[in-house]
Amino acid sequence: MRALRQIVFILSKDLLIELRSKEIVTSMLVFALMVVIVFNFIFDPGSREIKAVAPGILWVALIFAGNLGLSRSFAREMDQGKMQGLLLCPFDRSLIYIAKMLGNVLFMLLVALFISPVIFVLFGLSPGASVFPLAFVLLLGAVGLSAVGTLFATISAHTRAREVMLPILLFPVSVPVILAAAKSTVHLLDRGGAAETAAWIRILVAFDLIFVVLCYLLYEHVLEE
Amino acid sequence: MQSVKSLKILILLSWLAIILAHYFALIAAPTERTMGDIQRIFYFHVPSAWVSFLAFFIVCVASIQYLRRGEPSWDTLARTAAELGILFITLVLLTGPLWAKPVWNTFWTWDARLTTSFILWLTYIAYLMLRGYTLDPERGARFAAVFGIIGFVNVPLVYMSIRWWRTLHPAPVIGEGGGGGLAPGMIFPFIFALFAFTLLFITLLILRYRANTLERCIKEIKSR
Amino acid sequence: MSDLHYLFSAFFVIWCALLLLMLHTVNKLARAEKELKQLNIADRGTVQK
Repeated sequence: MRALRQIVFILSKDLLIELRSKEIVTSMLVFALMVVIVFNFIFDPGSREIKAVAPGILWVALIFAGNLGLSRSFAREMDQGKMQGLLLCPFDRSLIYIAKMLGNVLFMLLVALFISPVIFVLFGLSPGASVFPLAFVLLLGAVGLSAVGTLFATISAHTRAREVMLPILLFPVSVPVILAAAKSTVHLLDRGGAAETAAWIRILVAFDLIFVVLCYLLYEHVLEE
Repeated sequence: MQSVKSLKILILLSWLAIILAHYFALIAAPTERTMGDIQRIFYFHVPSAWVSFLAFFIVCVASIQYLRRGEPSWDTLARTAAELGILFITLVLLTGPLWAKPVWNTFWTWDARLTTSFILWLTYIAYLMLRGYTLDPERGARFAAVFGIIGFVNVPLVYMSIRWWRTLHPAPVIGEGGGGGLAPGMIFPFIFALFAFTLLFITLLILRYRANTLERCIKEIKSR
Repeated sequence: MSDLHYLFSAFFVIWCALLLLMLHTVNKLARAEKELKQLNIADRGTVQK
């Protein structure tokens, strides 16, 4: 399909650029690591609170890192005028959204997959058999955050206080996704929580769908020059 | 303008209604059994919340219309409704803790309704900031419209997700739909307060919409 | 603070907010109308509403 090819084209372009400079992913990783380490100082590993708190810390680190990654990827786009270049090409505007979103999902997922073992080690937890379900939850969370994040990053890139505007827009709207993802993670790590996990994952999927569809439909209004 | 007179009548009526609502809420309504007189805040607290919700709904609809039609009047309506909505939700966030402290012995708690109200407040502050921080006003209007739609869709999501998580707010006295659970003597004061607030909101909306529209026209004239 | 103090504080807040908003809106409207009249006199062309 032509649409798929366009998406792949834009996505691979973005990934290639990132592969060369590795700017975005490294800064995201470092930032997430900082957040986790700071929290590690505050809480005693092995204490009872950890099991409840660790997933929250994971998602706090991810949303901060995600925020950083989103603003950096669009700042790069704007600074070199590549946005205009992209718009001149005969791409369907909404496909640009999908491509950008997928790129952001990938970055976030990479950071998440790196940070999770770090959290487990530092806080003395173990995912046990839930490694793949956990990766799935991380993916779902990344999708939800990227869905609105990509749209808002595009918007904030065109405002005066770029770096400030993105979190202001993003945080209130990402609350349902973060909550559902964190709760899914909590129940996933809790051995007896299969039913709750399934419930929260279903909720997370629903939120993801709503946000992806809504942002996909609205994106064209944000790109008009 | 012919409508100025009717507008003045509307202003008078809405303020009369508010004053009457005070009488019903503070004097005529029966005292609640467990909470006592402090419960009377309810007659103004809940209508504020519903009115703010109405305002943000208008923002959403006006935003959709603005994106579809492109007429600046829709954008002005969205902005006006947002300004009013923020005022009313701020009132909710101020009166809520004043009600909570004597009753629950805490000013705040992160249950579904309070958290949703707070997120609502943050969302529409962000909405106005977005307008302010965008250089090109027409672009700012479009951005705001997009955010206005997403922000409103977000509200039920936030509410539901936190509700599924925990609830502490007094068990819905006014249920999600109907009016069950209120003592009979309280129903009329509540309905009347709701009516008074809605009337005042509509009055303010019309007045402020007109003011904002005129300002927009003035800007247009000046930029010629 | 006794319960009634909370009650009256709440109502006081509501009153102040609503009054201020009403005054601000009416003031805004009056100013805009005045300025528009002045511009109408200055700019003899058609003014669209």
